[in-house]
Amino acid sequence: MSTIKLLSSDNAELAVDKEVAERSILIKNMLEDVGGDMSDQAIPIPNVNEAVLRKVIEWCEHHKSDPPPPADEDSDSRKKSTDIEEWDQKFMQVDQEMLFEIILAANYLDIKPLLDVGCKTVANMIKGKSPEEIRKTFNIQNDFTPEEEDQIRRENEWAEE
Amino acid sequence: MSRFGTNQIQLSRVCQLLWLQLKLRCASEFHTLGIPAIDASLKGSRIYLESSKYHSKMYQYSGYPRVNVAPSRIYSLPKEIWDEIILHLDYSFLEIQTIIRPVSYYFYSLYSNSFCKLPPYLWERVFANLPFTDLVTTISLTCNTFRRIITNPTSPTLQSILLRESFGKGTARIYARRIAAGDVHVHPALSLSRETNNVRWTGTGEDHRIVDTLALTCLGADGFRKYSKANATSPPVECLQVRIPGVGRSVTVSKKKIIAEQERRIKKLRRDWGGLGHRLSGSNLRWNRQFQ
Repeated sequence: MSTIKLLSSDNAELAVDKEVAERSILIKNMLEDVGGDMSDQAIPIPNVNEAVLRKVIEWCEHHKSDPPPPADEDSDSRKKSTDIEEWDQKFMQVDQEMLFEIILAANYLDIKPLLDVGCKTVANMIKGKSPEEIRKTFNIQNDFTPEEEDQIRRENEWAEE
Repeated sequence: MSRFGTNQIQLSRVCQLLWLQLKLRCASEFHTLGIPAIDASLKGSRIYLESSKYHSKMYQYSGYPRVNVAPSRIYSLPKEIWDEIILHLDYSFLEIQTIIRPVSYYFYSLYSNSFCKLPPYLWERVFANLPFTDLVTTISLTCNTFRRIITNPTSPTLQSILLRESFGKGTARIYARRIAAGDVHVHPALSLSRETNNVRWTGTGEDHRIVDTLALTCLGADGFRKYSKANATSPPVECLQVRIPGVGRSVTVSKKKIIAEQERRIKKLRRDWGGLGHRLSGSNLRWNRQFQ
């Protein structure tokens, strides 16, 4: 099995199986463009640092045998849920900073299943929380005036259970 | 000194940061006046301010006329300094997005479009995993940024979830129109079968009524061509089309229309189309009545 090298933003070179790296559509397309031979040269991943890249590779290695995601971005949109596989749940048990970095890396590297897992994890962090708890979770400042808050409540009170 | 247009202002080093603050504040005023952006450059103790003219979007920035402007050193200021300046302005994320970023291409790229690390389109992806009620009662109450994302969703998935079947004002008319499949562009929450002309609910909101024979359209200036980008808190859906299966005619109903007139129309359709009329008395009517 051939390996390729990835160069993180902090200049760390990571060797990875081609099959694993090709979970990233970005890398897959890049390899196709250059004829598949990048064995002697590291592929720069300028937006992802070493720690995050290692996590992404770990995920890709675990999921290397998964079927490729549907080409149409929204084809699975009707089946959205916040169910996450057990392994993925454990994988995503990282601090918030790392979690967002993984999501951004998955988005940049075009690894849709990982992006979905990341987004679902954040959605789970939001689920069942009050606005105030969400603000605390993500360190968001409440920039509504009390009047605005009242107005939004009134607008949406029909949806309150 | 003209406040707008190309200016040269000599300031002491001490005042430079203050001036830059002012300049940034001016950006919004320039926008109000229809001048898309301003730019500034530093040379020695001088700051040059000029109105910049570039087309429509900032990322399509191209060279704009410079008059008496020295090679810019403003771009050599590290981000930390700009962070410091902008910190003094006490701008929120939204203000940074709407005021600071449009100042110039440099600022556009300097301040990435992210909130709590994620750009809005990734927040949309996160929110697409949440139920409708959470989105409108909790997320939209968290902060202005989230509210803006919820009220202006761009992803079809989020649009589907946030569809609120409600009617707007000024649509108190009843239309009876022939539905040709090509005439109807349905909301992403619905799917339209071109073969059978059936409209099916495909949304993910768990509390939505299932209505197989309703086509939801937004009557724009060009008729049925626009589909609604309806969302929870500012629903632009103006009317509903009730289609009678097998008949090929439809009734568009709206909130303001009194039920009597609706009934009258339906009775007429029943009369016109005989036995097929009974299909109107089922879930379609119940569904419509919720909005009376």
